[in-house]
Amino acid sequence: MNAYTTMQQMLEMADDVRRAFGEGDPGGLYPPVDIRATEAEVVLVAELPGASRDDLVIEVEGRHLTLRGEKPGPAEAADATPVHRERRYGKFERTFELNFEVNREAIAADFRDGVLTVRLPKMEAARPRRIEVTGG
Amino acid sequence: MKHHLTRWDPFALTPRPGTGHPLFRPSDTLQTSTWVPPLDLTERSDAFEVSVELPGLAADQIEVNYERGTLVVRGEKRTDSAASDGTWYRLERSRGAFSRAVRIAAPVNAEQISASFRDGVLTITLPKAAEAKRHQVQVTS
Repeated sequence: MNAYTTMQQMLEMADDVRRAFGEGDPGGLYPPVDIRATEAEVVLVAELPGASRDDLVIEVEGRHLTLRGEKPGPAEAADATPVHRERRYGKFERTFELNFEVNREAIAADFRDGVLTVRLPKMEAARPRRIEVTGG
Repeated sequence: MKHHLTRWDPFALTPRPGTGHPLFRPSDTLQTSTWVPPLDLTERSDAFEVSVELPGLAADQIEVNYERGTLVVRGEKRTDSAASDGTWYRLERSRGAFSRAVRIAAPVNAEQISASFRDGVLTITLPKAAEAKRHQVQVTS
């Protein structure tokens, strides 16, 4: 036991404590997403590190957006022994309800650096309209 | 009556930031980080492999250090969240500074450690030092 081991143990303990309280862990919600809407579009950003574009399926049905796919497990050599596992692998599916119609023809999706960005333009009728108030 | 209770501070006796051993800096791990990127550790016969999920980061935003048996990965994820206009419906992605420390239980060849970053996953390969490799002993009769 020396000062270095003590520090290492504290760093690891701090990690364990935060994991125990669920920080940094999306729990049942996988993959974690951000969803932002502007007047013209809805942008969904999902984190799927280690997935490949071919593993991802995006479906829009009515006002529901479904994101599904499978994140392949690590391709491990025969002599590999897992010592510690926190990363999540396997099938996932999440459905989101949108509170407006989107233009399905114009949906664009981009996947890079493990981040999926889906842009869903709102239908013209769903965009806010500003009405001039006139008076006399 | 005033109570004189002092909270135990494990870093109270450590040097000022930026001095001394990097592990003795007041740790990001305990102070600013709210993000614990998931990490896997795998052992092979000739190397250890550590993989960390860091979606959305660029290679130059990640710092990897190995010293005295401990691998430390740290960095910061900056996102557009605060600056972007519109209405947020969900904000589940982690952001900000992170730091992870892993103790590697066997001697490694520090000069040969390599790291690559692909599809949001950082993979670090730490080749074992010769004395740590498994070797089979022939039994003679």
